[in-house]
Amino acid sequence: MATYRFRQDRIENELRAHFGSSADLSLIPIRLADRDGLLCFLSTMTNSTFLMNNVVQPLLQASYREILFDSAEALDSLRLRLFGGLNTRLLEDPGHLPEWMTQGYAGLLLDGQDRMLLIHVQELEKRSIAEPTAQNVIRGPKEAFTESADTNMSMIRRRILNENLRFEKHVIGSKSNTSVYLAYLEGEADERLLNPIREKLRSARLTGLFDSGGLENELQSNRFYLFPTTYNSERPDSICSCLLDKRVALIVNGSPFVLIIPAQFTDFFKSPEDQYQWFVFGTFIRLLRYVAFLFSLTLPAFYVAVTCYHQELVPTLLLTSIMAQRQGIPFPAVVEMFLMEITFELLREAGTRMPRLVGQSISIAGALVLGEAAVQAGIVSNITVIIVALTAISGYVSPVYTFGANIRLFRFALIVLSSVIGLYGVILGCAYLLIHLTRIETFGVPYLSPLSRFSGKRSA
Amino acid sequence: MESKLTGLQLYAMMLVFLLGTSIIYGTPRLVPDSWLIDIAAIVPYLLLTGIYLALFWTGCDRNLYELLVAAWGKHFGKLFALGYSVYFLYIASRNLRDMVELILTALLRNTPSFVIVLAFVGIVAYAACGGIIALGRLSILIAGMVLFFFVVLTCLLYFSDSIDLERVLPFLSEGLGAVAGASLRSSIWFPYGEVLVFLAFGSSLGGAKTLRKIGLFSLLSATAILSFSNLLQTSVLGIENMKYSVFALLDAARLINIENFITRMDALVAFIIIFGVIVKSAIFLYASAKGAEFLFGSDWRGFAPSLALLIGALSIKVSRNNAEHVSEGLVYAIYWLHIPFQLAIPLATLLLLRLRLNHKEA
Repeated sequence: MATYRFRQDRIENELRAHFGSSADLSLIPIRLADRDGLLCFLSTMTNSTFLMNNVVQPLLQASYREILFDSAEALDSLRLRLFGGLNTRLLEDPGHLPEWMTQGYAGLLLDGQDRMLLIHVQELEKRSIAEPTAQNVIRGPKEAFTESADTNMSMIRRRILNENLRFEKHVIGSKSNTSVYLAYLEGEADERLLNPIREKLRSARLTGLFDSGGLENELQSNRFYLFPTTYNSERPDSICSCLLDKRVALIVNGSPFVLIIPAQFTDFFKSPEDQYQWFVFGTFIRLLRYVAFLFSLTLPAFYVAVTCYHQELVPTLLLTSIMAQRQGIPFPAVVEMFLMEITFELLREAGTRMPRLVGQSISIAGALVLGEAAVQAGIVSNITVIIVALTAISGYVSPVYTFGANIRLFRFALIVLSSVIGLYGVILGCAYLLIHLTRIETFGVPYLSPLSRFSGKRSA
Repeated sequence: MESKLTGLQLYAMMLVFLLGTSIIYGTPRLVPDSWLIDIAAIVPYLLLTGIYLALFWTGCDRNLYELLVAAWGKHFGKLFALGYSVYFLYIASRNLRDMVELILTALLRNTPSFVIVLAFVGIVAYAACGGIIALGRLSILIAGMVLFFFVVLTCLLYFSDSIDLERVLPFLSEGLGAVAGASLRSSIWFPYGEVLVFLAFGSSLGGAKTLRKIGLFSLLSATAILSFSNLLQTSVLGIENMKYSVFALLDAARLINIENFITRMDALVAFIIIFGVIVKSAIFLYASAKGAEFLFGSDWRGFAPSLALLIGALSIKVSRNNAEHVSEGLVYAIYWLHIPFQLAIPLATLLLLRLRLNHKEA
């Protein structure tokens, strides 16, 4: 009898060696009928009420008369009688026990048995579903994803009542072992899209993954693309409509932002609200977003080019008013523009990072001191402040925040170009951006064309 | 993997290609009724493209370089392929020079031209390196933009009361013969004959049938737009001014004045030409790099950047000033380059291929 692998003292020692002095390791000796046993689990992966109600109570109250403890099927009958509603499995190799425990299983060991029963007891505290914070709508569903992947998947499943919806589990992160779920509609999503994504997930070399943003970098087909090739949203309704649109979603446990692959340029100008409104208004707003995008990209550069090189392009009256304001400003227009743009970037960064309580002081310092006083002191001109402000506002029109961030960098490049070769530089810069856009492909789908292009037009 | 262009992409590409520089330079003003030249050129143009199409048909999806070798044998074929590769570079550099002259006139008067050229060839190389499909997608966007700006320009001209159709008179003052002669002498070779370059793309074009249909459509639209553009310019500037204006569309745009507020739309014109020339040069560069790949065996992407620099250098060195550049384009280039490369060699190649084909069948 002493030769079997699951001896109580041996398992106890092994677990102690594995988890060290970790405080959440619980090893509880139990006694079922006339047998000794051991219940082992990590107390941080469950909560005691759940454990009491679902595991300990049934074990205590059961009658063991019909169970033959000497037979090999003892654990099997236990699991069927007592833990019918829970996810259970039998463990043959004691070496894997610590792995299962970190995934929220409790191990039940019974003297004289050659196997061990694993019971899924994971029950974790999680944030309840709240309103979206980054992608607001006035009309439309008001719930956002949370950090728990299970909740997120259930929110998707609730909306798409379709048996073809699949959640495929992958584990990413050599040290953190984060679960990532690949969601798609079987039969809708193209295999030519799914397979490369699976391949990428399998080959991802990350030690830890704590937000979908980390995965986004991994899935970007080229590090030097200026535009994000994955779309992220915290809104279940927008993710669901993408899934119906033959795309694929990636849900990362621990991140309230779900990724959509492949993203298209036009996605970043769409808000789910557009579809809930009269289409004319929705289209108008969308057009406005494109205009805002153009503004935030080119307006400062255009201003610099026009005031430095092409004064003749400005209507005379406007030109006199601009030049009158610039009278007495010690810097050239480029320096002035850079000064204000960088100031604004600083303000924005300070505004996002600082503790909420000191928020007031930043807006006062920004609006009054830097805006008003800088103009009165004659360091920058009014028109520059107007342009920077307009640019800044336009930059936040995109429904997806991350989209604007990369473009901001390119804006600086455009300003430099315009200060060197004027309007020609701005046009060339825009041309570069345009060519760049046409060259981007995400998993075989061109960035600029509608998704329906994916099938058919590519010949092998 | 060689990908195929979609119909729309091919159409947009050909349209931008045909409009490219000619929408700005206008048709060479050899006769007063320059706007008729394009319409008169349709028939000879159809014949010319008929040759290319027949060539494409006979070649079954093979590209121009492969056809040349198939028809002329290894040595002569390769010699001709080299000739075409260089010829494409030369046309690209001429286009680039056109644009540089316009930029120097309209936007940057004191900037050294090599700065303009250097910045530009970088963009062109980047566009060409994306491959034919990316170029196709780019063409759709640019075709849309060029047409949009052109429509805006027309509207603005109309609203600033600059259009007076009487300026087009006298109509046909030198007779129909002069118009037809002019179209044969210049217009058919530039821009229409340059379509030859599309043969270098071979199977990417998507078969002879689509090529025939789409080529015809794009030709007709380009002719319509160009004739309209010339008519517009003439009705704004008048026949006399047109004759001496170098950039007629630019001069016309400068007359825009609505309530003293919307004035000087030079930037619009610059937009149109810069984008047009980017596509056009990139197409030539791609074709030329493909030729280099065919001749020397290594990947065309490696050739593109250096060939782009070559285009840039050529565009500066090709002529000393704008006057020389224009006269070179209207006289020497046509007789020494366009007629042999666009008519003589393709025709001879076609005949040879037919003969060989018949020989094989018999």
